[in-house]
Amino acid sequence: MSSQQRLATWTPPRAAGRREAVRRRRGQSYVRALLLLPAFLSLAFVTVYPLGFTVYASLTDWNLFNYGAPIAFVGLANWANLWRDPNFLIAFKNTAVFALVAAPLTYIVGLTVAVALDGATVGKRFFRVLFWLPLMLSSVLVTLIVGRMMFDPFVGPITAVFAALGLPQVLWLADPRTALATIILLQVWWGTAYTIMLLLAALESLPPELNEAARVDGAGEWRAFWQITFPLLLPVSAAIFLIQVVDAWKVFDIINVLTGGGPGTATQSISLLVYQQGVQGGNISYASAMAWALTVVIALVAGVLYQFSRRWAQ
Amino acid sequence: MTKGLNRRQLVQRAVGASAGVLAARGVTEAAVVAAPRAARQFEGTRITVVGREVTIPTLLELSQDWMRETGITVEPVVVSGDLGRKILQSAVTGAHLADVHLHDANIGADLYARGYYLEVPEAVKDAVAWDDIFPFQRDRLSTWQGTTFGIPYDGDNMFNTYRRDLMLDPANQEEFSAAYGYALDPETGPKTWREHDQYAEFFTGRPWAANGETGYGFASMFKRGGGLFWAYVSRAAAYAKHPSVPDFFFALDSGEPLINTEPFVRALTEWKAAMQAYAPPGAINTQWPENVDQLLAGRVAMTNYWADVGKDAQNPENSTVKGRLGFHFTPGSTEVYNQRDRAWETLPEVSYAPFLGFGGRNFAVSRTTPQAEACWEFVRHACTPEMTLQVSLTPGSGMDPVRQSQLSVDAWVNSPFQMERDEAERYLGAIEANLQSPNLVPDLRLPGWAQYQDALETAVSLALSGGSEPQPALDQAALQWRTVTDQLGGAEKQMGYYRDLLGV
Amino acid sequence: MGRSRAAWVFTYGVLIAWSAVLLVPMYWVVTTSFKTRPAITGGATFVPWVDFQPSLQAWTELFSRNASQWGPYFGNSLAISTATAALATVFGLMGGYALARWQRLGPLASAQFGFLLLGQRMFPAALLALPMLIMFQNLRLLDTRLGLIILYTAFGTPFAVWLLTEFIRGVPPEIEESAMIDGSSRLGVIFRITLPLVLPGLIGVFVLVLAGAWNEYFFALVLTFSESVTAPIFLANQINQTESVGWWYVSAIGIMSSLPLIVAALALQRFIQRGLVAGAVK
Repeated sequence: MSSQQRLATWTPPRAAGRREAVRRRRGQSYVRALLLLPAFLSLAFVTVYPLGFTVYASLTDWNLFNYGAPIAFVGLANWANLWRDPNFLIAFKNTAVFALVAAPLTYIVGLTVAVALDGATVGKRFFRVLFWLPLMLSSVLVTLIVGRMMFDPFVGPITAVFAALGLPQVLWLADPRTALATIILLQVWWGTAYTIMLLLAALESLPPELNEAARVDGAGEWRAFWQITFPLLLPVSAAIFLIQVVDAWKVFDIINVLTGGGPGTATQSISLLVYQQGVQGGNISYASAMAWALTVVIALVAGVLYQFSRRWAQ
Repeated sequence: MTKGLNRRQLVQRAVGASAGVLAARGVTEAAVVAAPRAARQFEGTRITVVGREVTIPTLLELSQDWMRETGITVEPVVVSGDLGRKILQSAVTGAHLADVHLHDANIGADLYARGYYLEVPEAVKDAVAWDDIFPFQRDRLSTWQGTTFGIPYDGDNMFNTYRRDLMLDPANQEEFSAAYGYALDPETGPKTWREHDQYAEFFTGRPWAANGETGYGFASMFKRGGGLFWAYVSRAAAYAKHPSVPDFFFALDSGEPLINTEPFVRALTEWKAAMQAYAPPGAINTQWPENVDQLLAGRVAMTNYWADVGKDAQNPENSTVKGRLGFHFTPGSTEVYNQRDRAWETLPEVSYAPFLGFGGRNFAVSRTTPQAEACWEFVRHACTPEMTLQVSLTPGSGMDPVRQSQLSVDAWVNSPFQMERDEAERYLGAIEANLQSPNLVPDLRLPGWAQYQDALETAVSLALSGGSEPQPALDQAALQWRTVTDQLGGAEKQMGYYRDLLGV
Repeated sequence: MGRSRAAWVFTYGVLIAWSAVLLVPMYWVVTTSFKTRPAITGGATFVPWVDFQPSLQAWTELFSRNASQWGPYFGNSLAISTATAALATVFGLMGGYALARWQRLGPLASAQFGFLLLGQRMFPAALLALPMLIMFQNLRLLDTRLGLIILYTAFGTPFAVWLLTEFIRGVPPEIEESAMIDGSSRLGVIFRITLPLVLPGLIGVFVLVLAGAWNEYFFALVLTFSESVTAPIFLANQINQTESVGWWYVSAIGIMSSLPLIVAALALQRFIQRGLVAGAVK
């Protein structure tokens, strides 16, 4: 980044004497700390404190509804129970499937639309604004309207249209085989906006001569895209992918509003389970262990993806 | 949410309807006339009350005169969303939510056990005609280890609501008899779950529904977090509650969960089959509102639900079934499992086991209130038979009869519901039979209730969705119930509470 | 433009298809808000005046009779999200300036610190729910606007710092230097020169944090119950009642809850897009 270089070459004005410089440096570090204090506090508040708290809680038998009983240490019992708890294992599987499908799907759809949008001549402004809108909608609204109402077997249009076209009736959210898929569709509907925006920005920053050159060489547009444009999108793509995967592992809002984890456990996610067991059920200790397990998984996935993305970027 | 008349009009009608009825029912004069004592003593006092969305505003509207007379201002605290969970949360975290609570009776254990409320003074009991309240709510659901903390305001119980008109139809009568070898009974609806499923089969796929569409047999709450626990347990009760055995959710002596025993497995197996064959498409996602809608829209012939559906059906704007309904016990069974002998028994008559799902609601005064005197003054006014009746007669209030005096047919006929006399008789008859049943099944009012509920709902929903067979799913739930019991102080402690609740 | 016919078909095929995917639900929610019960319980209806009679029932109800029902929740959302956005923007500017103008912060290079800021995004809300619940209880912050403002600001600040660092780096330090030589204080320089130059970034950050707080669901669900319940919770609760779902009403509330944000976002979209792109791609 050019700003980085600028920063490196910037040196304090020479006018001041040496003593003055020392005084200023001290003053600066004081100011620096003060300026960054809110950021530091924020970070500590949303990372250090929760991490510490949940580690502690996960080693106890803390239950909000065991009224009057002292909190006792139970060692790693909660952690050991995780691997024997079918509900946690199913939630883990569902969350993994969700992340593994939703993130690539969002990317593929986003890439397709972004490339099309980049090539548009007429109405580009309109499409651009429209495609970006879902980003401003709340998860609750998207879930209720796009999820619940559109897919409702009686109220929504999808079932009616399927029937009119003579397609078999699909029960979407009511069928355990399609419930998770429906939620993935919803995530794609909502999450693609961000991907489109980022990829479009990247596409537009590419010099237009690239494609011209390719065409002069006689390469087809399809080949030109894969051989020239796509490799240049890889660094951005890696960043997008990382964000999408991490967000997908955290999925909660859509599922809680839409299915509450059902039918059965078909859409149970880890975050939802933590909420149900910890916040609703008062089982602070076990829910803490689950939340930690989730965090570890996310950290691992993010770490691996980050390594890959650095390799791609080179 | 959307009502044809505004609340004020409805409340006024409710007041008119209940006037005079109560005295005739033998309620003591002192209780009817909520005499404000020491009128100006509370001048300028403000208290807050939390409860259901429509209920509290209705009550406060009815209390305008009282507020003027006593000088107490009562302000509602509006809770958005699941009130029970929020009250529980505030109790657990020690937050002061409001001075007076109208709380779900089911979470009473978690609230009462931690001393969240003040004991109800004898004088208040006297002032609100204590003995008018149905016994189980009065003596069990409102108490904790012998101490009364709540005043029952809502007597939730579940029963079958069915389309009587369809069962009266001669063509249906004839066809049904030919197919099943017995007659459709418009007066009781199906008497057993076996009959229920045959009724359901019969009415599924026939073009009797609104707009000439094909109808479905029944609706039920199959959705996790959407009432599934109550719908399932009320179905299982017919098999699992033996008239002479008190044990239901647990074996009383050992604390072992009974939810994975044969009657529960049988109920789940049958319920699942019925859902797949006779409930509307997507039934597994049916929760409270859809369940009611489906009956009101004329799409299903039956639903086993709370008394609310009978009231919701009276609004002609929302309902196509006003005046067409029959009400009777939740279907029963002649084969009942005896949990003590671990064996099925065949009883000479159909055994009904009405389930007091959800348990209704109680008024209680928060221990953290700085205004206890004024709070009791308000409660003794709000909980009189007259006021209880008026609130229950207001559409949307969600309060079902919990007092003998509320079962006056005249009051319901002349109320904003404008029930047809026959329908009101059937409706109130079903409620009375339920609440006076010797075999009623109380809900699981134990500490940690939310965790028990969640574990069972997850398992049942898993079996309904085909993710597991009923037996292993319920075994898993039972395993989790054991863990919950252990976490909450062990079987002995929990069973002590359970015995208290059952009164054994 | 000399592009092939196939490319043209691909471009507009995709654009129209994706537009349809986005527009159909939007169309559906808007028309539903003008429906009444008969237009819904009888099965799906598609076109006003053709297969159902549009009605203003939901909207009149919303603005006449039921205004007191949703008013407080929208008021909470407004207060919480604007306060959060204002705080996070100020904190972001402070931190961003420090990171952009100094290379090292004690043991950390400023780039490393920036990475730390983004790393926060990795933590699932589920991990934070229980600690926050207990802490809020102890600090008596449960069900208060202040509590949510603190929490949302803590989420928004690292993001704001990160974004604004980029923007401030785009302002050459030489400009500030020359002004300082003219005798202005650093603070004066920041206010008179740097601030106007990074204004697009500030607007972008403000609106993005505002949108995040306005739309937040999880923590509002866990940490509020009465006084400080926000609009998304209110909206979600519309279908969790024991009464039947009034889809027309839900739709109207939904539209109302998102319209202000959409209008603001459309008006300021260039700033926001710059902000979002800068925030992710670095």
